[in-house]
Amino acid sequence: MSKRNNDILQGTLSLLVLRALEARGTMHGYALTSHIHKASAELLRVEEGSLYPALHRMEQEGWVRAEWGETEKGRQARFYSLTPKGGKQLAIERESWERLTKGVSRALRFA
Amino acid sequence: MAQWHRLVNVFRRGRVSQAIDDELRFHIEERVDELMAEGLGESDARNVAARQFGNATLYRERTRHMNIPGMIEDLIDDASYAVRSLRRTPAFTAAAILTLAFGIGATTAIYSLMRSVWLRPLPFKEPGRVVRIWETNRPLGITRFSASVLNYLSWCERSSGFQSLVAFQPRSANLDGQGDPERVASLAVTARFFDTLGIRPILGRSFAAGEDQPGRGRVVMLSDRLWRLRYGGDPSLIGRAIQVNGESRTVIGIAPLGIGFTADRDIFEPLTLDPPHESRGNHMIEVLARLKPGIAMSQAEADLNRLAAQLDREFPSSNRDWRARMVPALDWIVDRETRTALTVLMATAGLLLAMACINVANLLLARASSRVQEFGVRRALGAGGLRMVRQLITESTVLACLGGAAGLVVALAGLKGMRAILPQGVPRAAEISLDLPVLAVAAGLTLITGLLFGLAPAWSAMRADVHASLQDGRRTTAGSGGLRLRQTLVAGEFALATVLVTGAGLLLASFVRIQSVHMGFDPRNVLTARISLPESGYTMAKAAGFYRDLEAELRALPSVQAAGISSDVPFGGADTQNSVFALDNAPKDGGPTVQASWRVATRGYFEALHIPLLRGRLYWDNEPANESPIVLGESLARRLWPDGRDPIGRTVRMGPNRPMTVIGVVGDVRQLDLTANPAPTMYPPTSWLLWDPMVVVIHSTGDPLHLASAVRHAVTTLDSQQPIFDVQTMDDLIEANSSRHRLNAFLVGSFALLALTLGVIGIAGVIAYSVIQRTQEMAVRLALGATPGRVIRAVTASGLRICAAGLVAGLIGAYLLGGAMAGLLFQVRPGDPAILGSVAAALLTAALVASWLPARRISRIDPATALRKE
Repeated sequence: MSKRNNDILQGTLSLLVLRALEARGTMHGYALTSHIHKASAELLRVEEGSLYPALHRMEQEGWVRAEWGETEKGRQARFYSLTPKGGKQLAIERESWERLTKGVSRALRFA
Repeated sequence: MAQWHRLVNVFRRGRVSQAIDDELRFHIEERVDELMAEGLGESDARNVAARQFGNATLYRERTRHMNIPGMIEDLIDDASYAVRSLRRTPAFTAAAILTLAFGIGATTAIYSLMRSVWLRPLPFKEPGRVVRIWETNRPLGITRFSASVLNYLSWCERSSGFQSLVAFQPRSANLDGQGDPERVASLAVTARFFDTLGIRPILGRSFAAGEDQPGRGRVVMLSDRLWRLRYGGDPSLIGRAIQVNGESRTVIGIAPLGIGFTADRDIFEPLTLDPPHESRGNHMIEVLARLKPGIAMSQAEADLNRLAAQLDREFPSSNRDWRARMVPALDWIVDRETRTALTVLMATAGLLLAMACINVANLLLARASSRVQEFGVRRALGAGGLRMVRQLITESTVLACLGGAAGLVVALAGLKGMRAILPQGVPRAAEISLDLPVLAVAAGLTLITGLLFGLAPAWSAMRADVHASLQDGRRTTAGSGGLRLRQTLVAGEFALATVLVTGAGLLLASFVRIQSVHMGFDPRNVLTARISLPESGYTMAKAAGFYRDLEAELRALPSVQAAGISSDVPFGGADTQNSVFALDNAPKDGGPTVQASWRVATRGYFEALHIPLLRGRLYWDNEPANESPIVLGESLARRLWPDGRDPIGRTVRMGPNRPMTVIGVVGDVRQLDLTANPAPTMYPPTSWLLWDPMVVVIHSTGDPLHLASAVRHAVTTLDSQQPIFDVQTMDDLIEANSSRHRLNAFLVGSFALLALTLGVIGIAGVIAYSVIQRTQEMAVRLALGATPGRVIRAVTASGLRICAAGLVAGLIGAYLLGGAMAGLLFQVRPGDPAILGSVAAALLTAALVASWLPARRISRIDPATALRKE
């Protein structure tokens, strides 16, 4: 199996999830993958194998809240939403991401 | 909140797993819907979704690990899987648990001994600030000695480094009055003793200030033990009077079980210091002190020595050259030899535990190689590599826990045995127990060993190649790499066994040499017993008459060959010393002053112990009282007259006493310690001094203990009130003295035996394994015409090579470590070639047998069958 180049950079998954929840409010896991896929103009694909462990970890950290609910199709799904603590975490991660990208692109230009 | 969540989840584990399954299933259903919307049929859509989703089990596990309950659930799964797989191989499991039980048990038992004797804080308030003070005298060659009462009092008044100083003196006392008369060990202490050390009585009070003044000492404290045994633990005893040495004394309090440095004292009485009647040269009390806060011991010692130098100048006649030396109380109580012994024992047990770990690792590796297919299948079914390692570590931890539990049983049994055989002199040994800190250490050891011996098999499982292991189950993927690992482990194990066996050999050789040491007297068939005449009823003359009559009575007994009286016997445990010089070779003429032991003795004492008379004569039974004769030991005579003059008829002066004329010279005797050279000794006559208590020494023609009742009877016919006590044979006294050496040799010896067993099992296991693994190779060789004997020899030789490598490393290690136990050895050097040689020979023989036995299986290989399997 060759390595896909749209793998999500380690550590940015929570940033993407938090941001998606901030933008769209409550979502279940499947909707999150679709949202990130579409929002990134199909450049990024979230691996299910990473997403659910990450969601559960974020829940344990208290960044997201999870509740079972019913979808429009009448299925039971677990819905995630952002907590105030998660909002703060999003600000931190966004700030550090911006610093990182700025730094990396400068380094690429001038190094 | 999150923590609360995790905690709550712990109690609904099943629901968490279920919830994760539901969530993942929902995800797939959504995907199926989407695919069907794109036009796929349902079954195709399901297949695509499942394939795209990937390894659902793995995701579920990863997701579960984000939850504590999920992890616990996995742990329980792993553990129950481990238990199931251990139960499938009961022989392996039993061997591993037993090995671990001995390793963990020995380490735990020795640690608890070490903790109780050495590491546990003393039962004092701020024990680190309590110091023991001795007097020293460099010109006399005295490095630690009792303090004189007057010096102690000067220290109390004029030193500045101490919060307070206290003195004590071990004594013994007769308990009479109500109940049977009983001889008990007593400790006379100054009034502030208990307060200064911070030892609280468990009942009543300790001594009050001033109760150690002359005329006020009519009070007594009892030990917890005596109070329970003799007085039934009756609290109303406090305030009542009991009879001690024929005097009435009021019981004021009960001392706790452990006072730190002695467990055998039954009563505590005030130590009355009476300066007007003391001489500064009379050194007879022991001193403890508590340092002032903020004062270091070295400061206090320097200050005390400045004072000692001052006292030297003030009292040149009685206090010449006496200085002070101090050590922390714990260093005094647990002496260097005990520490060395404990360290060596601890290291030995640790090595044994390391060997146990290696052995179990080896067993696990062997087991792992037969489980290669199982691992391959599990990997192929999607188990993560780390997950497999965790499974294996869980297995080894489960194994370690079982071993640890069995080890506790071993430790308990070991401690029980140790309590029974520990020598008398070991301090604080009565209080050994498996307390919480010890249990914590045992638990820690268990977990660490589990990790240690689990690492090797886990590591080789990590490297296992899925394809290869499934293609050919019989051939192990651990392959030659695994074998090499196992050989290295066994070589290491053999090295450790060599160190242990060498250590045991050295201790055993020391013990044998101690047993055959020349003592200077003949201990066989000798009975000793002590008598203490109360000062109240006996004047010096009356006591002398009593002992003279007693000696005559004893000699008249049938089967008594010789009987004598002395102030102490060899290995009686105590010592009395004084300085002595020859008048015709006096210090002012450049002659030596010698610090020598002294024992008051009658003629019969030398006869009963068969101490040889070398020159002159022994005392007559009716030695004229106005003469001052003395008998000297040989080495003392040589020290006093180094030019070899005949000592007979020359005069010596002992301490401040009047000169005494030498009438005889006797052979040197080891008085205190079998391993120490005989100390210079002098034997003044009983007409010079009577000690309290005195010892009768009787040489019998038969078993000396049969004489005990006759001796008791002889004493009571002279005075019906007098008990005899400490009735012991000379052999027993010597045995008690060598019991430390016996114990060291015994413990290290049994550890070494266990180690050797483990080593042999290890090597046999590796050879057996390699034979099984190389069956095809052997079959080919046999088919091509090699004789079974040659193949067996080759395999045996490979076993010997492994052992030889370990042996060489072990001998080097043993030589290097031997220095650390030099303090426990007697007339044996750590590098003793004879001992190293015999250890090497013994181990090689064991290795030979251990390699040859499993190698014999080769002869049972049928080439045709073995090759057909291929």
